[in-house]
Amino acid sequence: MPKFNEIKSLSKKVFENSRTNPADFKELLNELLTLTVAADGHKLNLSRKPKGDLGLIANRIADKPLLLNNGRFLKFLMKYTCGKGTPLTINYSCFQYQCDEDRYSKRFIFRYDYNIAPEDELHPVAHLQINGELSERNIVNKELEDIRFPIVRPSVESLLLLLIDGFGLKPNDKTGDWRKILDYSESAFREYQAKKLMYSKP
Amino acid sequence: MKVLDKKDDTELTSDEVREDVIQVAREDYKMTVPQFLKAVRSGKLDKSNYAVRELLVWIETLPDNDPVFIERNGG
Repeated sequence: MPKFNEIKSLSKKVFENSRTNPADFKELLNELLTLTVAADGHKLNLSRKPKGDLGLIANRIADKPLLLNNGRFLKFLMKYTCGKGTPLTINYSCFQYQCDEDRYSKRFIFRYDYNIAPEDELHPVAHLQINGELSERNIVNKELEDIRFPIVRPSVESLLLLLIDGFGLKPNDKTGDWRKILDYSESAFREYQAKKLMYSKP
Repeated sequence: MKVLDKKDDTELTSDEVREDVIQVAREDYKMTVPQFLKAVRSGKLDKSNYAVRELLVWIETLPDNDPVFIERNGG
């Protein structure tokens, strides 16, 4: 089980470096998942475009989504760009908690999407979909799952907290360190984001 | 064609990504990858559909000159 100091130094390597190595970022995400909700041995993969500045951190598209420690699944996909002299930037992500292993599951529970360049104006840049039913009738003439609630893009750490605190998954780490590790990692990520904004060209 | 040296089991080579996208295009759309891309360009497949978008995102990580983009005639 990853220890606080190990993850702290990995997190520093990822977020305090002027040029983040995507492999380190993937490693950090896998450490956080191992510490919290991933089933034993289940990890995300990194795919980089050769001679390009983009890549994915994700479960393989032809495979099952990431198996969680409660037998349910997390579909995880992050597309990044990371060019010379430009910081690692996520420009597309999808996190979907689902009951079965289907690639495009109808039995999803919730889904977060982020697309810096949405295909149409009906899709907010970052949005949440919930697969459920409203308890009140005659509110809207479509399914709740088809409504995209606009949101601020969530961090991976807040997603993991939601799975544990909101949906009752049991963290793999029994020492209790997992919460302070997520807090630390999320703060480091937010600082990185703020710094990136500060130095980005208008 | 092995484009990237695998640093560990969680780092995918272009060969593995290519196999995956070929499989998904075939299983989900009954198409080859070039046919899938043509269907997206022509609007036959909707880019705002998240399954279509996801496959496009994976295809994007392949090298521009990857053999998967070459349409083979006959068979």
